[in-house]
Amino acid sequence: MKRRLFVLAYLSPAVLLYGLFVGIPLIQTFYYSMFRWKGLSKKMTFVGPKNLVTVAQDEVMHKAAVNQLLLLVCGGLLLIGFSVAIAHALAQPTRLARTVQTVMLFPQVVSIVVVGIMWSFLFNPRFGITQALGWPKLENGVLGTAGWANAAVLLVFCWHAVGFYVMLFGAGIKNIDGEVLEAAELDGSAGWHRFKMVTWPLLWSVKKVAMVYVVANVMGMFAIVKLLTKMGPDNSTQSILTLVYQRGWDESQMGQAATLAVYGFIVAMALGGLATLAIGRNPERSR
Amino acid sequence: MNRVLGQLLLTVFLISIVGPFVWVLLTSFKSGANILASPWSLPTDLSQGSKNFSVAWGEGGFAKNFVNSLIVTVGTLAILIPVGSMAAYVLAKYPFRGSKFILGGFMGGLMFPNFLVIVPLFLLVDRLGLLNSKIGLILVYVAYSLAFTVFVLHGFFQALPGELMEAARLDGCSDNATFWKVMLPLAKPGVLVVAIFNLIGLWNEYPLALVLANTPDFTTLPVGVANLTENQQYAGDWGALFAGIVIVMVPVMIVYLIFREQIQKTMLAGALKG
Repeated sequence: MKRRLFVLAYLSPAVLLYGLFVGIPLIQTFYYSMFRWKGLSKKMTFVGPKNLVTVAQDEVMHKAAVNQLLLLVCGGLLLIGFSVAIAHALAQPTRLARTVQTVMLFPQVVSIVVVGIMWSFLFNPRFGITQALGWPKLENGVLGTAGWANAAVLLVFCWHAVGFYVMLFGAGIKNIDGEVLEAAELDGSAGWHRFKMVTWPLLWSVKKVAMVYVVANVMGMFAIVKLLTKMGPDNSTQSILTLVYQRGWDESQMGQAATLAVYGFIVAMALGGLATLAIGRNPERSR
Repeated sequence: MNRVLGQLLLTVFLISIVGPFVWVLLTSFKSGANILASPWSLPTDLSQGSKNFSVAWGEGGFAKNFVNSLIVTVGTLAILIPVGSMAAYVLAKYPFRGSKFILGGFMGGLMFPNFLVIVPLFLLVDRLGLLNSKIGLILVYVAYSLAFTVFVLHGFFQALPGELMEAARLDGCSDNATFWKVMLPLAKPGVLVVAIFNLIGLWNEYPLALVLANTPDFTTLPVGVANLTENQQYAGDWGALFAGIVIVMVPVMIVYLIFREQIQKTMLAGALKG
């Protein structure tokens, strides 16, 4: 009895706070998506699944979804490919390697707000890199030109996240049994061939983790888009979370914002599942 | 990989990571006119730096934002660490029917971007009368940091041998005393790492603070610097804006450099276990 009271007393503050601020709002999101109401006014009109249809037909939402998907594919490929290369280069313990290992998480530990603003300055047409390089010559600057702005978001996203993935693949490469690599070498497999046939397949579990993180990072895109490109030009860099904010707080369409979030949940869960499936299973186990 | 090629790759990588930070730091010592005229030159007049920083600190509102960030971060940690470690301890060492389910509930919170629940969360905080208040932001931060905190500390407590609890009990310790006097001190390295992790995350947090505490009296540093940039209030004073960014990023970089090894280890352990 006493033990039970102890367990209850220790657990309830965390469970209550978590349930109140995380659990209940999570469920309510689905409920609120069925209403039309503006901002903080108390008047809510039940509209059923109408918001789901409206949002599904919303062209800006389509743009956001396509952007999110492109970012996932391009960002994922770039991040994983680049990180594996860097992680290999870091395997030799030189002073340069140690310095890189120290600073590579800087973009991740400073506020993402800093990252967004810093790069908006770096792309500033009046004093940024493009001005110094004289390239590309664009009337509205990199961030004001569709396509270029999307590339900028991709670049900043990768710059921000890359350190973590380098660390991840570094640990994965370190964990590979040295004997396996030696055996491969004795069999005449070296360099690129050995990487393709031995190292890369053996990184399967790390790749899986990396995919799940890429999905989480991409779905969580908010500050970079909001501060770097302000979702523009003309919504061309829009993302789901920035659209949630825009609909809910700039345009006072709270019902639609909740509906967007519902789609966000579904997409996040589906992509997370897909990412896990895509990598498949341990190649060391029997086929 | 070819050795020379590897070193070359690392050099390019190093420059691309550090370069932007160095540029921001150097530019924060230049005047607005100088930035526009020659953005890539070195600062010549260092007194301009102190001018920029004092403008950002004073008129830019960074002094107030800094204090707000400090109160919210420390306040959150003061609640989060005891509440989180107590829950993690019980879930790890006193398993009961449903304890796995509760742990799963906490871990579920790690699966989705928390901004997705912002609409009901905003209404809830408003109804509780906690919109635009420090305590409201603190409570929300505690709740949203619990998932990670419980997850990591659960691992630490599970790794501690149960015999220690038995020994403490035989010495006449109550369950409560066993936790505070024996188990929590043993889990100190884990608690420290979790605290540092949360410290960095809370200091940097932007989306929730943007929605829940966005009046001048309550803005934290990230919201403050973002508002300043977006409103272009300082369109003429680029120097002060760069100085503002330096104010936001430098404290975190220092904390990170001090605890780098523990931070990297925990990030990896969390990722590879999860």
